[in-house]
Amino acid sequence: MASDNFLQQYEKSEVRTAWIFIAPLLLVVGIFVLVPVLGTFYTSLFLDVSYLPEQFVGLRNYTDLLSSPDFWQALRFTLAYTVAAVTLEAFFGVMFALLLNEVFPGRGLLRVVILIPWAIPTIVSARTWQLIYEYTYGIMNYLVVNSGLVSERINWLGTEFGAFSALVLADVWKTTPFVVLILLAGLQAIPEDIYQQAKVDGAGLFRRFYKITLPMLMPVLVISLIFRTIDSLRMFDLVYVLTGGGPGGSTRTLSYLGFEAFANDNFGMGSTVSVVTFVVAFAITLVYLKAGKFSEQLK
Amino acid sequence: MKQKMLFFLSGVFLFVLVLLLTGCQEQPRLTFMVGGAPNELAFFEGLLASFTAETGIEVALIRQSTDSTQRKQGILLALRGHRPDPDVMLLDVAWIGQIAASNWLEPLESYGINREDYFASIIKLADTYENRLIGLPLYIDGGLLYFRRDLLQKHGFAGPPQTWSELRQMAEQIVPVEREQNPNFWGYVWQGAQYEGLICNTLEFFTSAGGGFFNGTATPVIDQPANIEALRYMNELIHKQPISPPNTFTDMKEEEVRMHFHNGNAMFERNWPYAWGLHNAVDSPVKGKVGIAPLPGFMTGKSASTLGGWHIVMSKFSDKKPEAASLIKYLTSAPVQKKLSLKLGWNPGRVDVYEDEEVLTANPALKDLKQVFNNAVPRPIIPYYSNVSQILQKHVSAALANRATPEESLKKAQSEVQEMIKSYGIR
Amino acid sequence: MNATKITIKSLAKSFVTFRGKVDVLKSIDLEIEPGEFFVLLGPSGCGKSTLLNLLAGLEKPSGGELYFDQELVADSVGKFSGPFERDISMVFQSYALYPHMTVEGNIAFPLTNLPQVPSPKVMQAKVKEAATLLQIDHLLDRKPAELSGGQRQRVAIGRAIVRNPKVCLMDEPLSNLDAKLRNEMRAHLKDLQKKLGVTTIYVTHDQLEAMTLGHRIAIMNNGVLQQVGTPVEIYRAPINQFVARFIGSPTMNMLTGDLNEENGSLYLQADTLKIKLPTETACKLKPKNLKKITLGVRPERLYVITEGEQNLALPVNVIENVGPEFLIYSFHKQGQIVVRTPDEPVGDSLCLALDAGHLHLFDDQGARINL
Repeated sequence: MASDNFLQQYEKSEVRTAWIFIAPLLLVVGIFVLVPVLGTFYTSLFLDVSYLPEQFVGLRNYTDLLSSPDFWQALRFTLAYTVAAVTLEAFFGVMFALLLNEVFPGRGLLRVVILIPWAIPTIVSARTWQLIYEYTYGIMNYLVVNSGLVSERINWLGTEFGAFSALVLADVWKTTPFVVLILLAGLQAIPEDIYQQAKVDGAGLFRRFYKITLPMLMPVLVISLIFRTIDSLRMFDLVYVLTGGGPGGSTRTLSYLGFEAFANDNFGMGSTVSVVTFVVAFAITLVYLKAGKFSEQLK
Repeated sequence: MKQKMLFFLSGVFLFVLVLLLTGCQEQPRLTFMVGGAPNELAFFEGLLASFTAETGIEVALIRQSTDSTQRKQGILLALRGHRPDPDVMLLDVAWIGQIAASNWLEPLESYGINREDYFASIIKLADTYENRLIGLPLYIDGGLLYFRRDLLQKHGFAGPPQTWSELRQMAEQIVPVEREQNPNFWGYVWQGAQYEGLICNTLEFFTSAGGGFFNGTATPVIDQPANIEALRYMNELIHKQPISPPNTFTDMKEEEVRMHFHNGNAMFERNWPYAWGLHNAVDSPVKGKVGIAPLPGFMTGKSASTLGGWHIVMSKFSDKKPEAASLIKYLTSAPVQKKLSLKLGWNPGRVDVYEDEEVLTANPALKDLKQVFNNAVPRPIIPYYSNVSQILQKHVSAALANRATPEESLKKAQSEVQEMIKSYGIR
Repeated sequence: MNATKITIKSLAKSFVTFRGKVDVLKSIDLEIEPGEFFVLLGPSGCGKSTLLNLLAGLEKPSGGELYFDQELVADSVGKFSGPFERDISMVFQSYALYPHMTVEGNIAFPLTNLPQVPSPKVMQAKVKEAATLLQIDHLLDRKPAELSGGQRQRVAIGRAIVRNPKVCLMDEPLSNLDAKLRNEMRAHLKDLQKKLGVTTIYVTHDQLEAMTLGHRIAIMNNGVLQQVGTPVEIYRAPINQFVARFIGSPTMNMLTGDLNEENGSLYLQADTLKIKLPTETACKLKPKNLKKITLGVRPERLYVITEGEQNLALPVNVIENVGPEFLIYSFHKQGQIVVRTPDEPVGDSLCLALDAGHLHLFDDQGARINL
């Protein structure tokens, strides 16, 4: 066994010292990560509502959840939202990162400015977007009405698709800078020589991007998309502020469903939603890692 | 040597951690948990200081945020954990059922409290759980109709509408004329976004149509015809010859509604009493032009007002029960209730304060409000009220958004509530 | 063989920065013959890499003209063809291999960008041919990260030759290799260039590489061409002190001083050192009536003698035995003087003779005095 050989290199006392050094960290991880995660799973096996006798129900919370149309609605919405938001963020992230990687006057300023949306707390930016979409005074209606695009104001959050788009737009606006930041770091790690070489080798602008930049950026792109995907799958605050899950409960995400269960003091069901959300996020991350295998090409 | 040092350090680390986790052993103390705006908290600080001065009982204030959801979570956390603190706290009327059913509240009869001092209907409907008195109204809220007195007069109406159809008729006559000057003018603004406020409004519509959510405390009657009719009326306010703005079911919460009316963009408004003071503030565009009345009914005299407000309760796990009772009696005493009304503009839970000359001079609207509070209907005082509310929010919102007909949505709501009750195993 | 001639006319390049205009190249005139292995030599910052980039088409000139054969490829008024249109290839110091492609992918990349992409079969054959030539045909499936420095170097060269370019440009391609590998690759490169016959321009700061590789060398300093010529020409007759010092290892000994005539002989008084110039040199120098000159003599042209007429005497400070010969160092106020001799010296001073045919004289401006 490799690990045995590895340990054999060290004296027993050294191994013990190492454990002592690691112990506090393990303890912290254990207490603050492992215990809550296992605790959540444990709670999900109970009917745990304060005013009812606590009762072990096995997987009933899970069967209840999976048989509820609300869950499938929320899952569908969450996935659609994630796909739309992450795709757009990847696209705009790459575009802006490429732009900011070029040398031009005012680049430093633009690099700072573009990060501002990300620095604003989600709740604050959600409130801002709420004002933007507002029916009577919002700037969105002001723009579309005054530019003559439509004659009547639009109730942006009034339809499922409208609310969906509004949420996606707010999310893309807020988190594209995060993707840009990571990609910019990735771009700067690509030496200028490689581009000159590619020019010499006859690759035009598009081929340089497609054959050189994109593949070399892929590892950081995949990582930033994993982050963004997990984040989107857990999305709560934007929905909470912008639509409250409406209209007619059509914009509830998985996290929002969990929140509703906790707000109802149904800790068993809340934990169940959390576990299911975790499983979904975990599965999608695995898919990413599998699909992103090419990141191993660069060591 | 080095290793001994390491063991020692890890020991200290563990010790600190254990201390943090178990919490230090405390002396029993009297605590009062309350949230709100800074000026409200400062006011309570002052009240507690005078309580200590009068009775010699030390009491500490545990501050919460203004956010109602967070306040509920904080209280649930303490009570679930059977913590001795807080001893006394304020509950929103909507949570009382759940917390009382969890058997976390101390019955108050044995502490010498006179029920006659308060609104009888409120004590009966909201503060009594399974025949035990478990709370007292500290501050009462109820839905009201605000109207533009000046515009009613201008268009030749004698008084505010008694019925919903009157309201519609008035609006349909007034709105087109007013729109000529103000394109943002609407007939009726109310709370229609998907949140708890929607249920307060819905309860008023349903009750005033002769319907309601529950028969007694265990039988949901959500899909009864009166409710369906009322919901259809709500939908038509927005969609059929609209007199309510299209964003009613997306944006309209208390403040959005209030601002709409406040800026002179609405004829009628449904809101809580707090808006009265703001509409009549010195810099208000509608100052002096506002009247209040009970909400209309589908028939004359069938008005309903959803009860809101905060109730004071004692934790069953309190380690200072007699002292806590003194505090509750102090905070609900006539002088303190009067102070609350004068300083914070809160509507007292005691009936006698509504007769007080000084209070009436400061806030003449209280006379009307007393009538409204007599008609107050509480949301169902049942443990699983928040589940019911959530289900209703979703389906009523769907009906308002034209995603389902009123009948479909209420039928779904009814069956979901029934299923929920079944899955909870409630008899 | 379709080797290309390169003509450079008054080529100049300047950059505008915040601190003002910087002239990196000042009016370069050069002709590079078809099939020539041409080396640009100079210290760092001399402008040689800029000149290479101008030739490559990676930068635009700010003055002058550049011809490939008869075709104008770049001038300062607007005519500009990119690297691919010029049909050049380039090897960078960093090799600039594409880390995400295999060796095969790297070498084939220029072919995939051709207007008419060759069929996979042709492409494979060409890659195989280039790889075989460079002895890396067994590494085609590897990624650059899995290769040694020398192997990466070969891949970069393979990529440069695979599409038979008109001109091959190399920017210090060997400087990232260790000494032993560098020598090996140097010989290999020379052989390869001879086989392919492609016009090659090679930038280096290493005079040994320049001497061994180049048909001709151009030495640059501060953006100006100092001397162009074959290695032998430059070694034998450096045109100024800069070139004289830059070429040759150990560096040419230089002594500056006043000329004095004593008893019909001409002496150079360099501080404490008094050097008698050979009669032949003296005769030619006298009519020029110079006061102050610099005498340059390469270490191997200082002859240690035991008898006969000496031209100068030096104390011995350090002796280095480098195997086939000895390097003797004598410290002097104007720097060290190095003597290269096959025999181990005896005693603590040296008697040295000069050979009039191998003396380099420079005037007080540093320019060569031709006798």
